[in-house]
Amino acid sequence: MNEATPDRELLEWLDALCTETITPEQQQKLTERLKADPQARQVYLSYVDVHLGLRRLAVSTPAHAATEVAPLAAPAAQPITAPNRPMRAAVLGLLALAASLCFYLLATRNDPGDVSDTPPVRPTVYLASMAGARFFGEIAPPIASPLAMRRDYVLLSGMAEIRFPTGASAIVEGPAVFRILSDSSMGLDVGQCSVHAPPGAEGFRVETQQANVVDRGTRFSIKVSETSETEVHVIEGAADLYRNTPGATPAKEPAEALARLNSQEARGLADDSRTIRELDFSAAGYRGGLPDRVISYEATEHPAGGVENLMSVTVQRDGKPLTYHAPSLIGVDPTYFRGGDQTDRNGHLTAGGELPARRTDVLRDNSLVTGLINPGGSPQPLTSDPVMNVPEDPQHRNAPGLAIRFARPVINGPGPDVVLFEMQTVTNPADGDAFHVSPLVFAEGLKSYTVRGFDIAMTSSEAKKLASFRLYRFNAPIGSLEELQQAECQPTPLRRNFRMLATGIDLSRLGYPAGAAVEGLFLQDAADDDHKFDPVYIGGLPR
Amino acid sequence: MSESVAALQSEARYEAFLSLFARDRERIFGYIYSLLPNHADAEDAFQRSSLLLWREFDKFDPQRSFLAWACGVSANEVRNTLRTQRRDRLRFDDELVGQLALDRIQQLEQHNERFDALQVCLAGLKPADHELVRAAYAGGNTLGEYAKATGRALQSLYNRMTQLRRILFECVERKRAAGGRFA
Repeated sequence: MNEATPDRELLEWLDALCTETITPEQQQKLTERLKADPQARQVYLSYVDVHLGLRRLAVSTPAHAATEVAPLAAPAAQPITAPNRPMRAAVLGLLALAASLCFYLLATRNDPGDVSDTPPVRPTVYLASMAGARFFGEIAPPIASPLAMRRDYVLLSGMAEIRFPTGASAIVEGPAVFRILSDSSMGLDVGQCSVHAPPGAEGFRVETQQANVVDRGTRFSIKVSETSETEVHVIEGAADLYRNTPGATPAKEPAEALARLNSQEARGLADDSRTIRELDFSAAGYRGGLPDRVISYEATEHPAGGVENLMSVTVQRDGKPLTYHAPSLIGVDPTYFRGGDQTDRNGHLTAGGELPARRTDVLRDNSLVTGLINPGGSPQPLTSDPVMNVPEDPQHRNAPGLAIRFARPVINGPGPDVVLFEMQTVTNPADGDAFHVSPLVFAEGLKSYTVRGFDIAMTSSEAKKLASFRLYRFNAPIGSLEELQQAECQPTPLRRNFRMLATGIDLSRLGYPAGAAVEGLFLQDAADDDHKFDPVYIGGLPR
Repeated sequence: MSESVAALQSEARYEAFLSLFARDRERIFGYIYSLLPNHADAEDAFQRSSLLLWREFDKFDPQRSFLAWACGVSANEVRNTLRTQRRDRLRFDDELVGQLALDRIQQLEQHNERFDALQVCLAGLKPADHELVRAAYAGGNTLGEYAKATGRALQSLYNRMTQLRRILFECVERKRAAGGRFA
């Protein structure tokens, strides 16, 4: 930051420059000022960065916005001297992409936990973030969207973090039924909720059928059972517990609280609203934040609609949301593939058009429409090194699945270390296809684990519609990478109405210690249903 | 040299270029735009620079910074633009372009950090302001359409957008000064 605050006149000129409404006179003054004042040049360069950044970001169609597709301004690429036609086409494609770099999409739900120092204060109660949230009968509301007052929200599973204008926040865990009552209160019919009311947000209230819990500047958890019994555990600070009298004005408490709970105290109010009892305090029900996960991703939009190339992915690691731009992710190379024993009717390859010369490149690029799908599976995850003999030894059958090797080792850090994207349609499991993840080489302490729910599932508003693509089907089962490369396959018509799901793989869950360098993974469908998983992009997170 | 060896070398060269260019293309465009702050001009210069970078890639010393080399090539392209094209648009003069080129190259390393900070700041805006930013920057006549759709005066939207740009600028600078952590 420049130490001196930029003056109003300079900012006016910069605004005029950015909006291309600058007059010759202003331009002359700006030029003179910039020449003479190094500080002003720094302000100019920073302002230009904001302007260009907004241009990059704002063409996106946020989930809560209109569905129009902003035009891509890709000037026609010029001929270029390149070694051969495919390369030339690739370079031209790159340049066309580069020329339109100002226009690509990016939504902005990046750091819900870091909005406090941004100048505008939200006037509404809004959904700040979610983790695996599934709502009954509806797609989850988009992140950052306002929540309607006095409307019942039925959270079937997962978690939703709600922010209030006063600064209070509440994390509701499904199954739960809740509603927003005002800028500083909410109702909870059933389910569990963790409340944090920082200084200035004292007085925040949670109403259940039996009780009103009024925050006095604290952290507490509240749980309402299906029989409407209310439990309150105060983690720190204090909270007052009132009886909720049917028909009483909700905004006012009775003169006296039933109980004041201080730090590390807990009370329960029975469903008759009369019996209050002491409970053993437990902090286990309090959730200070949402779990580490893939929060969102951004991708270029195909002119005909749907996302096409991954641009960035935002992942919460160690409680902090971090955005990784696609070029910084650690790519993978498939080193082994075996499908199921039967010919897979959905094929094993997808692409927007023709397949690349080296077919496994479908998993090496940033494209979300190219993928190496339907690897074989097993109900039980591996407990020893996957058998991957070439050629296959009939006495020791090769493991069905997909082995990948990272372009460089992925270092095990906090939270997800690898992101995996899957294409999915409405007839497939809404949570994503379950799959096993295993080490390529088992050692002491290492194990497989099964991913049973994607962080961004079909019911998430973050799951973007995928651009059209083709499936490539084979006439026989595919048992190796060589067969995948050599076997004849036929494209089927373009598929639509698919969405792009995403999840993270935490290397710690495989037993790797923090800081371990992991060179590759083995992935298998969990074989728990007729649907196999369909990876289209896998990338390691850089350290 | 056999044809296959030549092809492999060409492919390796292409992949090397692709990798470096993809990594730095946003910063290269930002560099060009800061010298030539008009979108049409900057896009033209960027495209010409991109082609030039590919053609000149054999001259690039891998021991050096690709970004610095690419910015040097692009700066020359910008100067060519200033010299050869019609002066029907407002542009900075050679002297200022030279000063900005020097200042900019020192600042480019922070480009991703600034962009990430901007995303965080933008996430703090209320939904209506989000929509306004999108409409204002989406290109075409979207701000006009947005004004009609929301029943707000176009001028008031322009004014609000000016405020938002300044708010975001100050927010980014604050976060930068605070040393926020971004991937």
